[in-house]
Amino acid sequence: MKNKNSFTSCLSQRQLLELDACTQCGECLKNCPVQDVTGNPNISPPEKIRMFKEFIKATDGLKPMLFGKGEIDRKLLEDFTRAVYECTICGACGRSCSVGIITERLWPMLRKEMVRRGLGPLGAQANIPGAIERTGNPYEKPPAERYLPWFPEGVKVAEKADIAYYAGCTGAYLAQPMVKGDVRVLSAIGEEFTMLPPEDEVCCGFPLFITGQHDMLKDLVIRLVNAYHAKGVKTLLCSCPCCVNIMVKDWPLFYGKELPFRIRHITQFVEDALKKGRLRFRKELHERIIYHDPCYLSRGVGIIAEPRYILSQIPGVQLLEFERHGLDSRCCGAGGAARKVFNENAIAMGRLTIDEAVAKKTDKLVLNCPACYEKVNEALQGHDKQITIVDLMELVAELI
Amino acid sequence: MTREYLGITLMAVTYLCYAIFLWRIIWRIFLLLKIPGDRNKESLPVSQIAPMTILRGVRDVLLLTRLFRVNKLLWIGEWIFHWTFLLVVMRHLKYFLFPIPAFVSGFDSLGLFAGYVFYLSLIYILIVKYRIEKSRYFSTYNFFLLILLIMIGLTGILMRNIMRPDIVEIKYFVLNLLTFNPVSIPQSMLFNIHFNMTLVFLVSLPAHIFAAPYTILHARQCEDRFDLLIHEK
Repeated sequence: MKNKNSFTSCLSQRQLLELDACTQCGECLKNCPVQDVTGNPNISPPEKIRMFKEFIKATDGLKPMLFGKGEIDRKLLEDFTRAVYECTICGACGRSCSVGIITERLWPMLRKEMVRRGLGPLGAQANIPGAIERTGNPYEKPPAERYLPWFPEGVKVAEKADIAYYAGCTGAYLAQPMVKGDVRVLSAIGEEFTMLPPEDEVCCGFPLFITGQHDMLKDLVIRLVNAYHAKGVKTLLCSCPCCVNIMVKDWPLFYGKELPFRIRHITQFVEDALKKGRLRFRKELHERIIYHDPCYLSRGVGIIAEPRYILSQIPGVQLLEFERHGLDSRCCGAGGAARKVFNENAIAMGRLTIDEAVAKKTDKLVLNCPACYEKVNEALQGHDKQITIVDLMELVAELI
Repeated sequence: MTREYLGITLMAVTYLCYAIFLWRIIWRIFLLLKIPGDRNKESLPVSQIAPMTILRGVRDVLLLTRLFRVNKLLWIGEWIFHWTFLLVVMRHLKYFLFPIPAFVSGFDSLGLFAGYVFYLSLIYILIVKYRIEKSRYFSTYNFFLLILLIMIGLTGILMRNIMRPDIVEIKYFVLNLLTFNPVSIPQSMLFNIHFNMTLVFLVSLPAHIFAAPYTILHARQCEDRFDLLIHEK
């Protein structure tokens, strides 16, 4: 694609106004996790917006209108592409934006524009569509091994049921204690649930959406929704915040109408089971634990109280909080598929989370996202501060 | 003769600045209309906008509550600046209207007071942003606007208190400007500096003045519906 073409092709009307609304006050930099570890204002939210506005002016402004469109400097475009892909799209900048820019929706669309121009995605991110096409998951792992290594023995999965469980690719292949915990807890609650066969439980589309590669999204969504619909599903449960996010916000759009079932995060289901007495903790845990809010779960869909309720029900436990928690949570580094290219940033961010948990003299760091689980565990390796990391459902499964 | 030419030149520059200002608005509307209304809509829970959401949104715009949430030190300066700026503009209407409407005359004392507070608020913002907080992000454009407004405020205060221009001459110039009737440039150098800097401000007026009220209202709407995304009604 020529760099003379309009830069507004991937933006909504609101997003165009959001670009204009940015006052470049720089308040967002105070909460940006990428800034925390790089300290580089050239890749900050206001700078990205400023650069993109310059691109729009260069292709749609008065000068190109009167004198014809000139090529935009490729170096500038590459710098912008790098900046927009170095972001973890955690949404913290939007949360602290003084004019209400919804950045967690804006950045993926700016990435989509760069993909359209052949400048994005970067590095290993470009392999995601091919991997999904070949194997159904972005990690190019064998579909047959999606459940096999971790699925607990003795747990029955119904052929058809009102409730379905979607494990998700990151959980199934990279954070298996998490999905194993999910299934053990669901089994303990005792309500019948179904799952798709491993080769049919394909990627939810989130890695494609977040990296701006939207071509396959519609097909994936229709395939998954129809498969669950055929099983008579009324509630689809999932523990992965990224999957839940796209299911709630974007699946209805790609599906073309309202979904034939509701989406629920697993903590909502477990909280309900605890409140109704269908699940009880049988063991005590006399430890200080700290819960990290995954960005896409807290800022993304507002699941903040449920995990805390579950943890508060564990006998003997002392629940601590990070300085930045709930809607203001700090990204662990795993977000936005940036870790696939800028892994050193992700490790540094993960270590900030570990350091704060250790400084608070915590016994366990409780995570609730497979991407966080994988990345923070990686950050722990070789770090001078050590802590026990556990997934929420992994912990619950051990104590019931 | 020279003053006549300068007057014509200043009037031409003024019309050019207004044309640029109008073009920027028309260009933005044109760009906006080119985008299909249903593009990139996320699936927010469908419900009518509650009156309370509108009220909270208007409060967010009028009180800059989002800035208050993240930076109270800066908020007080910005909030005072935006409101006193509005009052100063209202007071300046008396130079453009004849006869002066009663509501504009009623603003005179308040507008005059606002002029001093406006200037102090800009100094305060400058100190908070660049001396106290030493913001990691430096926007050349914002710094330029801040200095420009401080200079506009300063020349305004000087004209009011020290080097008073001939107000009749100025009003004569402005009214002829509005009726496309070329006249000589006013004699006051301070006024000419003040007026030219205002024209520079006009052409470089930040676009957030028009866009931010909408994004703030929309963000409020999203926040008020946020709990309905995945939770039971």
